Amino acid sequence: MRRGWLALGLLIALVGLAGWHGAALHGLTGELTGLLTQAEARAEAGDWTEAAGLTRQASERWEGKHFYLHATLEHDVTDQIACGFAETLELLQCQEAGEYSAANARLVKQLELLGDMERPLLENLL
Amino acid sequence: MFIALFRTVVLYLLIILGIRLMGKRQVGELEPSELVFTLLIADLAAVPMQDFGIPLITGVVPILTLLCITLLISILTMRSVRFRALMCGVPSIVVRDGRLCQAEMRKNRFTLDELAEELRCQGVADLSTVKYAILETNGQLTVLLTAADSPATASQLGLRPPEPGLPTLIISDGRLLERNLKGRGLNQAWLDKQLKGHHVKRVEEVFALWVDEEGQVTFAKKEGAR
Repeated sequence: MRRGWLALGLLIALVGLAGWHGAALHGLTGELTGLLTQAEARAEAGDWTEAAGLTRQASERWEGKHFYLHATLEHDVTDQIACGFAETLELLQCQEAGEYSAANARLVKQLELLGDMERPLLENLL
Repeated sequence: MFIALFRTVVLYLLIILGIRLMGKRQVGELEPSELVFTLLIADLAAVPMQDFGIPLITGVVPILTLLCITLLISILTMRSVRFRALMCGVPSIVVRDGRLCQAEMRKNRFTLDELAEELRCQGVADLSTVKYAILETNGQLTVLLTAADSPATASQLGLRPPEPGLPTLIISDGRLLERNLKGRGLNQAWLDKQLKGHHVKRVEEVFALWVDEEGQVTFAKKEGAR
């Protein structure tokens, strides 16, 4: 019976960890998309320096979680987002409004999709 | 390369743990939940083992989850008869008093050819000699012959044959198993006597030596030993 309690405890812990992971990922991607949306608004207002600062802040936040993200998510997904940050920062430096806007929108969408991917939604379960 | 090695070791140990916890039963005797677990874990382990783009945790978490669920199901099947019937099914009588139970055979999709084969495997040629043939939950067929057709046992014949009990291996391929020797309450003097009686000088010259609970010795000399 002790083995049964152990299995039940482990199962509950796994479910708890999975739930925590989903919530943490959703929180992180929400925070990053917020920063990127603000950056786009600043860029549209012509404040490229502030836009670059906000995007860099988001990129550093992403890089700070590199180990956790790499250990829990498919590497293709995390690599694509890392490349997206690099591209967006480069376009901000060049002040290419149109291309920056497209790259930023793509990055925001990727982050949103990633955040939703781990949420216990019916569409994900199915 | 290191990643592949590390992943292989981790997942391999995890599968061994899973199989070990399932006990010593053979695959044919596994409960359905255990069989599913056994079939799945190898596949789950193989994917992150080969694809480095997938995190190790995506292999570990499903295996741990399956392991926990299988253990819980096993415990529930032990504790609840209803749950056991639900998970493992119930035995079906396919032959009763020499007559085929066709409804049960249809229900279990058990063909006449399969029944004939199983009966032949158990040395039964005449269906009328079968009192019951029961299709067990593990897929095996148990055949019980009518009392008139069952082989007579010693007790039915009023005989009292000696009970040899479990034979214990004392020498295995030239090596003395001292634990077994002492466990059987024997000593070196007894062993020396046995070796001398079989015209052997050393333990290394013996391939196998068993002794049963009656003290009956089975001896095999090593081939090619001088």
